[in-house]
Amino acid sequence: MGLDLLRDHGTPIERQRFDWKELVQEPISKLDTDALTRVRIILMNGIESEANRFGHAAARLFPALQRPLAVIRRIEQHQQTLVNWLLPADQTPLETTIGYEQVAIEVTASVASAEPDPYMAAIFRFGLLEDFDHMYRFAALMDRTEGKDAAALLQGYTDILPGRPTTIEHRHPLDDLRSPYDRRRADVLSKLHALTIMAGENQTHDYYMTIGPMFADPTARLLYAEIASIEEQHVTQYESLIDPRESALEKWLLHEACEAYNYWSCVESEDDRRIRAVWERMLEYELGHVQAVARLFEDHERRDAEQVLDRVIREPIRYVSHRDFVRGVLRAEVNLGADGPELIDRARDHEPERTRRYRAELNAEIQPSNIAAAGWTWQPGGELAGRETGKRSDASAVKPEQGAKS
Amino acid sequence: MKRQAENSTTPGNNHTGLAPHPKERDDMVQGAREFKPTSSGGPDEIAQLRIAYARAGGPHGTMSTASVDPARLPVLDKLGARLQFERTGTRLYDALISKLDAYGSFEGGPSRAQLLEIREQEFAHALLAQELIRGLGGDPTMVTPCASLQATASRGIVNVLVDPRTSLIDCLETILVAELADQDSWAALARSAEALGDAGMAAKITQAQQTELQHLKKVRGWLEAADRLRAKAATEVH
Repeated sequence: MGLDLLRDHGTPIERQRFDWKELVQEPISKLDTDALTRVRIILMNGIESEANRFGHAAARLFPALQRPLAVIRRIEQHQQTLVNWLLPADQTPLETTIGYEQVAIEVTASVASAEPDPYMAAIFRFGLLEDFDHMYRFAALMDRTEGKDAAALLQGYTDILPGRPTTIEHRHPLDDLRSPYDRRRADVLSKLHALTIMAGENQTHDYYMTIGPMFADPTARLLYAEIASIEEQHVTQYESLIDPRESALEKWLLHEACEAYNYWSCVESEDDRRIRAVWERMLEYELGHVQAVARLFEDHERRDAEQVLDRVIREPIRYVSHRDFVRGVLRAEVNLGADGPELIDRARDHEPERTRRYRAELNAEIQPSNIAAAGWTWQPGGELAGRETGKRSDASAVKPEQGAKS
Repeated sequence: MKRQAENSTTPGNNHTGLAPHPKERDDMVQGAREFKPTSSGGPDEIAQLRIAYARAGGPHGTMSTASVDPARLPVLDKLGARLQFERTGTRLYDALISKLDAYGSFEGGPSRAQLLEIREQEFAHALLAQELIRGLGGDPTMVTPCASLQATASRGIVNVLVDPRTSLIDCLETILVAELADQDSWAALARSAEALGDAGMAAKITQAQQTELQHLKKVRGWLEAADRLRAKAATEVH
């Protein structure tokens, strides 16, 4: 079954309502809920967060759209609340971070493997290996500062291995800008992919910028600062894939389509009946938004919305483990870098001087991601699960017990 | 090197109290009298909502459905908690050793070797919990409900220990909370193990509890010494 964005009418906007009790429902269980349900919740928060961000920017630039944007944006804000409040309070910010990186790995892998445009697919794989490394660094931080194993959150779907080392992900801003798709020729799926991954990365950036200062450990504060900087690079990268020549209304229509597409993907894969009912309701709401914005688009632009949403979507985001795909990319593409919009092989080609200088300056004194994971290898239960790996290097200094000094 | 007793004995720039601002305080009190609450009732409203949400919701977590004798689940839940707590405890002592390396110790305070020794004992207890879980047919990589609760309860302890602004004494006061809970939790585990009728396991657990009792005594001793140091430092200031 596919998603027919213009023919599936959904819930009319005037019937889209919430009360506080609906918005603040029982959260999922950190221990008992499938990790991919958490992944869907986190991504959908990001998708709704982008709807809000775009809606405000558009309202500030286009007075004619202010009124309809205000109405639909309020509904989206409440949708975001309902979705994000499904996360439980006993899931710490660092544990939620592991969830965010699992989103970045598994959703980007799904998108990269389904992307019809070879250049865009390569860019998704390029970003994927960087988020993959972030997972490794945060998991090391969790083990070394709290004695916790990130695998308890990942539930076996996602590897914890070094990717493209975070220290070399730092690039000059001009080496993070990519070439956009052509709005007239690109497959609608490519447009939805770019919006999805951009939204996910933008919320990750915003989340790390919010929680980073809440950590007490200097390594944690530094690591969040470093990785938030990469997430800003990723937002720069992914938003530059999107054709800036799309009109505001075309972008709005694609945003609503992207939201519907993502809720539809959630419905297609969700096993938890209560959460599935949330996705189904949200999908109906988004299809209602698509209808409303399609009418606005046709009224203002005198164009048929079918020129933008020109086919039935049959390729949902696949919520499965992409281990083999990711390992293949890791083996083949870990050495890639960027020169302007083009990807280069760092083993063969020199990165631009501007990037080398920028990176050297940032990394001059401290490389937080190297400190967090110095010599660290994941094993089940973490470093402290092994008699040798858990021992301190200075443990030989331990002398036989002599009793308390005082 | 920073002075150990500096935080509580040195006059500084604390801005939180209202006493230095009597006029502002009186203005605020007058304002609160003029502008009355807009909703009636009291703290019971929050209590009622807690009760309603508690009754409507499920548990925060459960044990796995893997094939383990259900009679063993309570012990496995508690063993899972000890495993996680001891791992976190090992990292807490890593942080405490950094405090000592940063600040040095104080008269009657811990030596580096003593902290290192406790760290290795916490680590050994984690390995013991892991071994006992395996022995009962459990999965040591599973986060049990009790482990999750204790991790939530311990978050503040970790935050104090890894904050570079806290002193060795601040951290000893904080780790006392962890040692008190740990000692009692090993005792509770020993009771659960006895109920299972496994004398070997109960003996190992009781031994761990005795070691934890020693940790508690040491931390208390260091804190008594710290109090003497602070009293002396305060006298010197005045």
